[in-house]
Amino acid sequence: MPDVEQKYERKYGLDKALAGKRAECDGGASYPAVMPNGEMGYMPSRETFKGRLTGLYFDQGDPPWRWYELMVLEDRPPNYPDETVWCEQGFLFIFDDETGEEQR
Amino acid sequence: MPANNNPLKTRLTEEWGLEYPVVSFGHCKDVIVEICNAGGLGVYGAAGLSPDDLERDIIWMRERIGNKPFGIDILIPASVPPSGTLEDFEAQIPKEHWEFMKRIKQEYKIPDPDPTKRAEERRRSNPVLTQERARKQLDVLISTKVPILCAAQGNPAFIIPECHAHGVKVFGLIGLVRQARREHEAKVDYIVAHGQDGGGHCGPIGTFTLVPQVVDAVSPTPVMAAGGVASGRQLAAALMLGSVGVWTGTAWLAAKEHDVHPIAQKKGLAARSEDTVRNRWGDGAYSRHVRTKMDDLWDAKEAPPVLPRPMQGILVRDVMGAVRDHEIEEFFPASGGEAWGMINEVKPARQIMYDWANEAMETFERLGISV
Repeated sequence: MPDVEQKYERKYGLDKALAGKRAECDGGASYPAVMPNGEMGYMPSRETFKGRLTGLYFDQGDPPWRWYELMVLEDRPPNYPDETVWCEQGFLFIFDDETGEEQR
Repeated sequence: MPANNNPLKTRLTEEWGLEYPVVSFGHCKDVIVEICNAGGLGVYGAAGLSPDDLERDIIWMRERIGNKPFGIDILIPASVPPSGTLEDFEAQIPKEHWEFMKRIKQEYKIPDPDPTKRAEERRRSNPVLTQERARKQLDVLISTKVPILCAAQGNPAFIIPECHAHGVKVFGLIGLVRQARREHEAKVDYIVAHGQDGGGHCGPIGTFTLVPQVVDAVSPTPVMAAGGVASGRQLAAALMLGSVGVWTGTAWLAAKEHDVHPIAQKKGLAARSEDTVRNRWGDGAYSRHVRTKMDDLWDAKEAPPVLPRPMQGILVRDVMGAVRDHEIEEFFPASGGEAWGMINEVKPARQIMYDWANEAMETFERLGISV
């Protein structure tokens, strides 16, 4: 989908403070999208993924939305084809490693 | 309970000048108008409309309800592609999925769609859900000063400051407690806790379990109970759970004024609660509806994985269009939730509303609650 990707350019960044944090994402069906390395990857909308954040994020769209990269280590939907997933900030929940509780 | 001893007077009714704490969601403008004029709050589901059609419909409804409040429900789709055309997305659908639909069409002798039928419905229905389209819909809502934006399927945090600056209140629909907490932090005005019993795009938790948890988690933000509500007793129960009202949908598909297809309405009226199913083959997101042959086929082990939005909706569009054009009953879709098991007759929308109000008041009286 090169035209579409160009129209809504992504701006990537790295949040080192989030790298390695445990997180869950209320995702859903994933859709194919171009990853930072230029290969195809997947985004969630309403399925649940659990893993650790890499710290990598991108902003895209209008307002824009921010997406964080989650390495899918613990839980992913059946047949999910990848080891990482992009999670929209509004659906991302981060957990404290020591207490295991969701961070507010 | 409010101090005025009328348990049907809640923050929802007081803020919006309603007679009853009942929100009716639906895609039929006539029913929305009836509900608004009968003392409830109508919310028009407009996610599939072009911005131009949405604006025309808003004007049409306003001409019939005057200054009464109403809402527009759209999808806030962070998780759909930013932009794109039908052809862009068709090209992304794997061959095995096209083959699967082709086999269904051949095996069940489903003809091609008939473009001479349902012309207006066909013109208005657009499966290409993108961020770009949602943004344009939002612009229409704000420019036409719609009183209430209802945001389903995503956190509306990004639009809340803009809506509030223009006097638009935001209702956020959620399916999990933590989503409610997140939307509360974003300062939505009302939270709609949508249980899995509900029709359409519902969450994974039962209404009776979800609502009290959400009420506790987001207080003082008011909460509405959604999912499976189709009686006055349930309205009373929802208020007892701490909600300020109910958000309802399935019940109005049995309203006399509704333009739902007679086959779909007949199927709903005949359905038991256990005849509904929650799955994703319709458009890629979970939704509940009355089970048909198509559900059996997508449940079968030879079915391919359901595609994400908007590709899944585009994949099934032609076959489902043909099912509607040729009125093929075995496959004919009937939306709605488990509440269908409680509904067995068609009544005017006003009558449904008044029956619920009476039954709710009788329930409160039976419990010894002063009315």
